[in-house]
Amino acid sequence: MSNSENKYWRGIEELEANPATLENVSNEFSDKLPMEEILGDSEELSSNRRDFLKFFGFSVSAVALAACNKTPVKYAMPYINKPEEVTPGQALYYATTCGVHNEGFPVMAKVREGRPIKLDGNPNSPLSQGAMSAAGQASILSLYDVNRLPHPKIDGEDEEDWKNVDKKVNSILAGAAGKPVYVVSRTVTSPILKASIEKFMEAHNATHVVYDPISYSGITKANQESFGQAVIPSYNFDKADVIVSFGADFLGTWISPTKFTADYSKNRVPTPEKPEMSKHYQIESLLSLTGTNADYRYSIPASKQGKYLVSLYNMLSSGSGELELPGNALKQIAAELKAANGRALVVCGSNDKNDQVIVNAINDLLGSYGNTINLSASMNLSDYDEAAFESFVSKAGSAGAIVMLGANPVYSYNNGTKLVAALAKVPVISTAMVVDESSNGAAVHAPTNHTLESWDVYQPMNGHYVTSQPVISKVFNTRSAAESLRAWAGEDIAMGDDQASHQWVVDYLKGLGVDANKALHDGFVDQTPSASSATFAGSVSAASSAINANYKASTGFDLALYQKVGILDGNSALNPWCHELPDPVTKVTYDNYVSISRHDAETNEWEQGDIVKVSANGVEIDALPLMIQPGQARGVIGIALGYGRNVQTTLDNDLVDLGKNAYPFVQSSATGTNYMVQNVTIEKVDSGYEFAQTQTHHMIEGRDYLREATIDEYKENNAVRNEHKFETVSLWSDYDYSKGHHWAMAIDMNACTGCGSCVVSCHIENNVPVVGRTEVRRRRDMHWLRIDRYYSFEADADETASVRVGPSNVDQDFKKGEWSTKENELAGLDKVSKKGDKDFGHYDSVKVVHQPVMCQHCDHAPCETVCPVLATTHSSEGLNQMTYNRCIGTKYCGNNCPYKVRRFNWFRYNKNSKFDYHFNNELGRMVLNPDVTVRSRGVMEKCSFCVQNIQMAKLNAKIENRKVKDGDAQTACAKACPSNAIVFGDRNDPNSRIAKMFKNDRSYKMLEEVGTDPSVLYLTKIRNRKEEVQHS
Amino acid sequence: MFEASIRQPLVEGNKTIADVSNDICAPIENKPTKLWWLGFTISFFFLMIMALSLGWTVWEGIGTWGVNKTVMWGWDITNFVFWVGIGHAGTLISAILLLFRQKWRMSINRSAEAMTIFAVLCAAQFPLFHMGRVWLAYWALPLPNAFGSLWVNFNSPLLWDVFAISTYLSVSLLFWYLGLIPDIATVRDRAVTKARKFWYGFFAMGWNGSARTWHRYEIVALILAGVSTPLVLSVHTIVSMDFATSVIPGWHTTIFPPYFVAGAIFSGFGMVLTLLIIVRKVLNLNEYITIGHLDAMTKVVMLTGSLVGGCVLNRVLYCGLLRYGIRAICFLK
Repeated sequence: MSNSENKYWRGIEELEANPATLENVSNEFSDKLPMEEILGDSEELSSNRRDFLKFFGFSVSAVALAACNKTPVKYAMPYINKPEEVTPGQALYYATTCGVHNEGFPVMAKVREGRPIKLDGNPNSPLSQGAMSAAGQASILSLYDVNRLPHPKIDGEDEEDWKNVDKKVNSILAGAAGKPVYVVSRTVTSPILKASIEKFMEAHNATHVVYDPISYSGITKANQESFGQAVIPSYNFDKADVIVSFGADFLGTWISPTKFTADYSKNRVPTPEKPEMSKHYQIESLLSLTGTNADYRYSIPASKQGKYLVSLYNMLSSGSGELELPGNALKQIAAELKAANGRALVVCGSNDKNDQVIVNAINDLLGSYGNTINLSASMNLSDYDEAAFESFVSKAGSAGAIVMLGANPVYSYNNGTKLVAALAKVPVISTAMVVDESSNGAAVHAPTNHTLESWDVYQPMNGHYVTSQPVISKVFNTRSAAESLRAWAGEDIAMGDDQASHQWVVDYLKGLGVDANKALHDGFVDQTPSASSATFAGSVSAASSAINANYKASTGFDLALYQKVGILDGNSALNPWCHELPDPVTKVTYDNYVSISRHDAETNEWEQGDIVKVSANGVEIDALPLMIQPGQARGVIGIALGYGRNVQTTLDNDLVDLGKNAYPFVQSSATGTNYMVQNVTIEKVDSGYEFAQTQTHHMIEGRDYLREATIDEYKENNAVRNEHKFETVSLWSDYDYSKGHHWAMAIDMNACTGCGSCVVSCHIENNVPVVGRTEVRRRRDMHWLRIDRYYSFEADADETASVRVGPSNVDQDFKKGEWSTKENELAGLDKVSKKGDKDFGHYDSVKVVHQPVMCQHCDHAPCETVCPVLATTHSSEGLNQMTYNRCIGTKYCGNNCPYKVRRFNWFRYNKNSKFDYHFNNELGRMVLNPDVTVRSRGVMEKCSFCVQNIQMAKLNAKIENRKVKDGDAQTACAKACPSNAIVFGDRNDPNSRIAKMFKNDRSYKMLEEVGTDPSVLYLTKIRNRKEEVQHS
Repeated sequence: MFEASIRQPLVEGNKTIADVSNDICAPIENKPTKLWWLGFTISFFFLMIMALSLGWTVWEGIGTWGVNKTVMWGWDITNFVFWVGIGHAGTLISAILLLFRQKWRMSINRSAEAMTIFAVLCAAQFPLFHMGRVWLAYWALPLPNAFGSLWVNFNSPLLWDVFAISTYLSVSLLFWYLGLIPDIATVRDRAVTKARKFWYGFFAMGWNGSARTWHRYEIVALILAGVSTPLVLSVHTIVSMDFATSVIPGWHTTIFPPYFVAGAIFSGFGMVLTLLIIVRKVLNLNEYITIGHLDAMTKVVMLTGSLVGGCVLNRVLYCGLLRYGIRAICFLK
């Protein structure tokens, strides 16, 4: 093994400068060499001259051979002037922002030696509440993206000097005299950038056009009509006791999912003191992440959503409606909404003004305004006006110049081809960081800074200001778009180091009347106005008649276009973390696909993996694989947006040409952008596509791993489903963990929404490699933390015995001395699969459980006993440790793990062109966490409970001469979780949250009967359902 | 030569002792036949495929195999178990049949023993090359080392395998060599070239065919037989513990040790038959490896095959009929 360090050492003694060794060094030949004993008989005690020469010659040639090994030289550059606050090895945390979901999500950036390596939610801001979505976590990689433009470009040629760029832009703008100049941006939440745009508009008589790929204009228009305020209100899911969502995926992608998840989960966890939880109804066509968390879920055709809304309104106001859900559920919902007495909330994912007016009317009837909905603290998400943008597109061809300010309409606008034709005629000035669809062929590329390199202020919510400060010196020769615009407006701004931007930020914060330094330190300024009640002034009858008039009975399929949790609108197309994250519902990585109900697939004789052609309104996608989705409404197909990107890249990996772009199906109208298309036809063109789907990788052989109950059962008995505790016998003498720390984790399956935030957080924190689609298909994804998603069928009305996932009678089995095994499970599943039922009605509505699984850190770990070389051992603090250096890769530990959480390095995933992701380039590797080893090929790895953070917490406590407090040591997953479903801590500390979890009656250990004594607890999922879950 | 009136002669064709020596030594003293070259070519071809595959595995990683995160052992473990099992027949023939004074073993024991050694070598390469870092395989040996106080884990069944296989290999090697000594001496005595005389003489260790050497030979053979006999049972029992001691459904099965041993002897005799049927044809040894030998071996195959069948039946009965039977009774009461 060659040694690549430039310091050599011969043993641990030498490395650690053991005094005995140092002494030995000085008298190296203290003992006579035992040459004679080896070479000759004891009588002939003569090693002669020839022997000496022989050994001398051998030694010299051996040394010469050994010295031929060339050692790569690595340089570690010390600071010449060390910044005061930087201590190598110590992380610094800065409050700044990240630009996913809405510009200006408050984050804490962890910075090591001048480079940010991890983003976490700002713990104090109400928007993040310390948590962050999967896409937000992953966005840090866009800073170290090799596809970023390193320099500005003029007519496709690299240009180092920004003065030349400004000259070129000025000449373009001068040439445009008389013709209109446009600035095209996404919704601008930064007042700084807004001011710059205004300056630019003044100087060049330009027009500002806003374009958002995902439009919320239906909501703003409806609120304009209903309340005279064109805003997106903020919704308070924590204050709602009854939540009814019509197709709004508010936990996954809708408006502000991280905040909504945090709020939502606050009212979802029943305790013995308060055995209550909110009741969540989801009425939708596709099975969304939010739908998987609902207590009751009804699937309806996407085209009928508006009519259902009207029916609910009518039921609330007059007691009867046109449409009804199975089992008169809509009536029941109306009654419960009324009974909630203002603590109710109805939301709708539709972007149609009329739908949203009805939703406003319903919420007004229920008295939600001022309680669960706050119109004053509105979300500044959508200034997008479809009509204005459409008129821009029609006139764009005759423009003098177009400034593309971070918007990418060529990709996501439904009439992108028309725009391409127009843009070809006009000089385009782009500030995009990469060469995307809209800036391809631009006259000037003036790349803007990454958010993490910029000074800025954002106002994502009315009265809530989020500050952004640079946490790294600029990676490339870029300049913030705000500064560029001012320079082009003729302002003489200070160049370099973003001094101008800094000054603007400070001035703006002073204008708010706050201390700028404190605001930058905190990362946000909260001046949110308090909720005010509003009077509904919209016309329900006009909206409902418009809905009825617009509704056409569809002859083909309804196509519902949706966003995926990791990929969202497609902006992070080249981010491998987002694509390797399995979709929370389908567990498919990498691809987009056409999802369809079982019934429709069966009727048309289609199978999973068939490749279909989808066409509607003259738009066509030639080939997408078909995915059969339980819980999906009949007559509806779903396709995810955000795929089919065409970004210029030098990388050769699965992210290039990934999926198909579904944006052309989107329809704009006067009432908003519509993400639902009717009369879609599907034609099978091929078959046999294999999805890289992770859920099918794990089969836990019918053992008891999930437990759930209804709220009524919980009220009766807090320990429902956990009554039976197994008596396990150990062959080993137990270690006494009562002294010192004993780390443990608890996962509340009631709070967990399955959003995948923890998965990506773990991926980043622990330098987990990205392996690509082929390797995921081969079941070799490397996620240390996976979220298992299980379906179960709803109970039939005529069948009292409901069926739970997994074995139905484990307790009884065990009392009989039998384990429930695979045969048993299969027998149980056979009973519910209803093979004879060709209608597949039971697939229309399914219940879902999400269960995050990572290394369970068993105190009797089966992996530890089987390792032949003791590479995996148990620490005195209860951690199951993996020693990569010692691992020889027999994989026995992975085989003997009942939870299947161990991951093996099948190949070398770093510096390997076959895995051309961020591990394969210098820039991408800058995101690596220096506290965590990058594993070599051939070793096992797994969750370590973020041992580096535990160690840091212990060291900090030691330096401060105190005990480790609860919360000092946090795992990446627990930190990232928006719903606080993951609790980590020291169970020996009686006041810690985790110690209380061990006393919680809902807690159980997975596969307790195997006797592994895991350190991870799961808390029984409680559903707010009426029906009795009975044992067969 | 011993002849029993009620039994078939062990060597057919009314051979004199000189004939026997001539026939046995013929393949060594003459040029290889065409059939021999054919067999050698086929074997060499597959050997090269093996070298190529192992090279590729070490160069690229275990990812070149079809194993994955839930099934981390595949053909490697299957082959390991299979080849260790194959070896058992050789030991059984040499050791247990010697103890039972089965004279018919004489003509096949050395070839069966040779098969054992190659089978064990084949077996050993699988756990070796399935390692992620095969160049560190020696870490699995309890060697004094410079890594501090690192030692191997004596709780691990995989380590038991290391000991079982290395013990088995060394004992088999000794037994095989011991059986060969008189044969080597015969070749030495007939040697015409100097080199042949020297090397065969070296390995014959001064064998002179005296009663004294034969006496020593018999005693050592008996001792080694005594040592090997428990190995026939223990080695595959230990291999089975890789699975039996684990907590994985389907692996955690107490019937595995006898099941594995029976299966080992079953498949091992199958392999001896496969090889010897070819050898007696190719090397023209029909009169030494007689139909009587094959008949005796097929009897062993019959017995062990039935044992394996019984084990399978037991599992089917237990898991299927018995289990659901008990459940049915519980529900009916």
